Amino acid sequence: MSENFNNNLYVVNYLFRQAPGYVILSIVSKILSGLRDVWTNVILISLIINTVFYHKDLKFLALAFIGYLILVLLDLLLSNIMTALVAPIMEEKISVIMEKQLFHKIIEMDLEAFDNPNFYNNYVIALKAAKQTIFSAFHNIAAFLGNFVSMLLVAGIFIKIDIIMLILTIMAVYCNFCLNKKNSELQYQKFCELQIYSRRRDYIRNIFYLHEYAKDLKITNISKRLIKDYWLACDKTGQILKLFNKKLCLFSVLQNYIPNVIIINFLILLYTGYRIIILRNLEMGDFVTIYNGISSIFASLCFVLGSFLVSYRENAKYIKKLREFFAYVPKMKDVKKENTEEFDSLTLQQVQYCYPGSDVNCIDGISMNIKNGDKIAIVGYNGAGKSTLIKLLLRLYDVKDGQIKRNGINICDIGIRQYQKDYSVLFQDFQIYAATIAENIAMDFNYDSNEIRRSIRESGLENKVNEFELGIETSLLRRFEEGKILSGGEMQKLALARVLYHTGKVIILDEPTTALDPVTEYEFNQKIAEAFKNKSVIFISHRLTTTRMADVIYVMDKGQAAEWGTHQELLEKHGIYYNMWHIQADSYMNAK
Amino acid sequence: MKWILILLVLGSIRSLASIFYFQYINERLDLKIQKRMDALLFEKARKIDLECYENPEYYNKFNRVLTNMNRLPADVVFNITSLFSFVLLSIILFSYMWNVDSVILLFGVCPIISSYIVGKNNDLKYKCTIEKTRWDRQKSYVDETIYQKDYIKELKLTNIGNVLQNKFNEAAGKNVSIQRYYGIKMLGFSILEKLFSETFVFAGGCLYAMYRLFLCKDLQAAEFVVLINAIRTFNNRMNRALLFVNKAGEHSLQISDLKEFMDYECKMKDGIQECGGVEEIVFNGVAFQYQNSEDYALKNIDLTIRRGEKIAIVGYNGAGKTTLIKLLMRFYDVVEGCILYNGKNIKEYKLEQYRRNFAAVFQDFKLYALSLEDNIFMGDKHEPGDAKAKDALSKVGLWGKVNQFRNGLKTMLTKEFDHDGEVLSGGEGQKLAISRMYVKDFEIAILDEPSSALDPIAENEMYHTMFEAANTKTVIFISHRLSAAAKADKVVYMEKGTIVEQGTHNELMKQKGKYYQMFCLQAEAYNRSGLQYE
Repeated sequence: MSENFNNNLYVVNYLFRQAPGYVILSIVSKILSGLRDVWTNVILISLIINTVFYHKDLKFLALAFIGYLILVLLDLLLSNIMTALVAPIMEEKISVIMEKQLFHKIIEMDLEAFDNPNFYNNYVIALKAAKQTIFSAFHNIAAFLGNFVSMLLVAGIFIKIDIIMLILTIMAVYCNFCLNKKNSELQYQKFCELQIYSRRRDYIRNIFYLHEYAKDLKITNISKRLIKDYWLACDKTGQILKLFNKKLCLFSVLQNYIPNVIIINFLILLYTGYRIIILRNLEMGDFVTIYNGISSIFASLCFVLGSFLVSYRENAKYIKKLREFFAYVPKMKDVKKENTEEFDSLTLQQVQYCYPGSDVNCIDGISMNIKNGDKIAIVGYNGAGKSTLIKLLLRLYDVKDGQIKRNGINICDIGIRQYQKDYSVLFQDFQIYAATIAENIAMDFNYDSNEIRRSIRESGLENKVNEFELGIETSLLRRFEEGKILSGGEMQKLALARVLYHTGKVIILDEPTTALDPVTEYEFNQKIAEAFKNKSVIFISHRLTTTRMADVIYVMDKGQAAEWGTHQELLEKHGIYYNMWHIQADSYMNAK
Repeated sequence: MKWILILLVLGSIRSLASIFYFQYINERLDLKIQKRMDALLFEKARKIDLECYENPEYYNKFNRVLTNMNRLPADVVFNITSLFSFVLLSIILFSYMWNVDSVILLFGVCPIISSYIVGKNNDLKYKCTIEKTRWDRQKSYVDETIYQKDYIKELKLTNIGNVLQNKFNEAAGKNVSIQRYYGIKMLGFSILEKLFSETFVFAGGCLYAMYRLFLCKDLQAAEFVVLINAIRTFNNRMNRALLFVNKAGEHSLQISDLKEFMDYECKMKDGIQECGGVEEIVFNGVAFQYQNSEDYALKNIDLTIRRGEKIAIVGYNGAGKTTLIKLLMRFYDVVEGCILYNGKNIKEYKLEQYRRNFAAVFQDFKLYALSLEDNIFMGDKHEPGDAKAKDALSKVGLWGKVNQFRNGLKTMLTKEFDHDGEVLSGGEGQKLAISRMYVKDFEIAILDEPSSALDPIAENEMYHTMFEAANTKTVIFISHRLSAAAKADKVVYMEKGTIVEQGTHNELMKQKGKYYQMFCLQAEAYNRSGLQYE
């Protein structure tokens, strides 16, 4: 309970730090609405009645009426300004700040954390929701404060009229509260149990309307299987509804009868009747006040125990994740050290790495020495650890044991971003962004147009870009604006242009050609060989023809460098490389 | 006293009935309606032309229908019954008030004015949302990107994050100015609306009542309360009734969407012929053009495939290879020419039955958040723990891994619904997709770049096993690895939507045409060095 409270409080605190004015204004506006309700429904009417029937001062009534008008107009103005202008605009602005904070946090986060599907499901998906939640949580709390103030006010008025009345009302409220607490707990339980099946149903419904699944639905029987699951989820939902609704129904009846019928309609009626008719010491207006006051309190209570509490708890779950996310401390320690020395060599000494949660070393004692200008190839089966090795080199992971040294200095003692600047990387799963071609190449919004043109010329994308009216300023993808779509081969050239633009000291190419047709692949390899003549290049590939020309080929097997040497040397060894080469080459040789 | 008691009893019966209905029955009835609706929608969605998915206008509608449908039936029923009951109540209230004090009816004008303002305001809101949609999409693009695992490496290594941040800020800025522009207008309208719907009515009601109390002096205290409450209730009812009318308008739009969707006649017509095993497939001058595209995706395709043949389709990216196999599976109908299956146009066969002949491994294969077994059998009948699944997984080299899973074939894939679910890597996923072929009783297997995520050894084994297992079955595969194509009975080389060369590997090599060039390009690297070595 206190955890939920802390999490909800965190939201108010967080928003207050970003935009104190907005937070205060929202709360004031909600409280004003609460005051207005009480003033209108509880105070004003009884005042009119009392003035008429007990011939009280008209001036007082006039003042109250003017007060009412001022309150109403103020509330009208403030609440509408809030909903029409302030809230949407401030939320937009706060979302920018949040986005920035989240982004920096994500960038800082260890890549390892992303490899862990649990983490991924737990946080990243929750984070998206949290951004929305933070506002709805705040609105929820502000609404609570408004209701709370009006409840207090009504209670105050009751004390003034008759303390017994307050006690009776509190009894009714307490009764209602107890029943409602049970009720809302049941509601929440029901909500949680239903969620499992509603997610399942949504998942299946999605499959039926997403383009990517259409082919499977037409050609296989998977739809039958899915519909069966869907029915099952529906039946389960029905069962849960039946089970919970029975109890909920009972509670509602109790809730309706004990506090409402017995206490309010019977006890309070009796008591007020007694005072009016027998004691003759209760004014008519006060009688009206009491009845309107009770319904006002019940309306507030209904909100607090109903929708407020459900969202209060639900929101707390997401906020908890958000807080944990903000509190995340990356394992990889960054140091603020400039290193302006030119790249000269990279040395790996007995490097070991093992993925969290696994007890097998994925990289198991690799040593390498890469000098400026070397061409290195890394080959091996799927899962031999090639891509992991690259991630270690780029310091996307930290080694578990051993050392990686740049110019003889351990890379852990160099600023991460600073260290990574040496590299230009072309990943197999490189991404295209919904930005201009130039931005996609420079990977930044500041770029040198001449350099961009040079790199598209060298990568062979120039002709395509010239077809576009806007040239390198042309937007790509159709995510939110009508951008151009590039073909697979063209995207590959764009990715190559990236590497050509960023004249890093070390070029890393991680299986860049798997999706290409043979001719494009060939041309691609030619271009790479030409463009990076004077650079250090690290290739990863399982196409041995692309790696043949390397100065040193490392053959990786089970996380170790099983063999290394030039192509010729390795063939003479008659080891793994020899086998791999022949399996690939023979299929061509025999065919020829 | 008797009357009060009767009223009390009637009131409690009513509230009991309403509690019983809303708390106990209502949700379950909704569920039933939803279930029936979904059954209809799913069936329709499954049959709808693939083309519809590629037509953004239609697809958006289709999407809207399916998302709204979840709530729509219940909403409509609720709306109509409420409207009905409100109208009834309003009439009673109206006649009652006519008797008590007809002046009050003047207050009924207020809701009419306010509902007019609400309409105006909603138009503005709608425009505002529409204008924001584009920027919201930009924002959510940035969000999706930075939270996705696929992008994280590049985000860490480059400054592309700054570009994305800029996009986000730009979109948020635009949204702010749009909100400012519309917000000021909306502010006016919403204040006016509230004035008419609440303030005027209440303040006016009070003033009128006070006028009668103080000046006419013809009102009792109880009557005063009744009067004030009557004004407010009447006003409230009017407001709600008008709201329901608005809602009904909204619903009618959604219902017409639904009707359009359900009445959509698939272009792909079902035939009447029974479809037997394949003997021969002939493409006869086939041409195809995608909707909204000016160029032909395929032209002049002539191709004959006989039972048991292994066909390799090769060529550049974008040469039309995938389109060709989609036409064969009748995802689209040809624009010109025809495809003959055992001598009859494929359009004459029963569509479902015809498609069941194929086992297909698509380039963009999908895994489902179901058990491993279900992912292999894909809804086909099977015994639990069927040996066929084990056999299929061994063939693709995945059994070793699956055997280690605690729940074996019952293991759930993805963590979507099961924390202990397994997440497969790209290569493993591809192997699983291929294994589907081995449990299916198919006539023709179609594989579209089935080895792109496999290493050369696994790739080699995959083709070897596949040829062996397919044995007398017909296989059509698309591949960039020409060493695999060389093993096929027939190689089809495509370029720019046409078949440029076809024949056996040896024939094409002798021709020394485009295929020869492409093959040499790949083989050369091995060959040259191989010769050097030997």
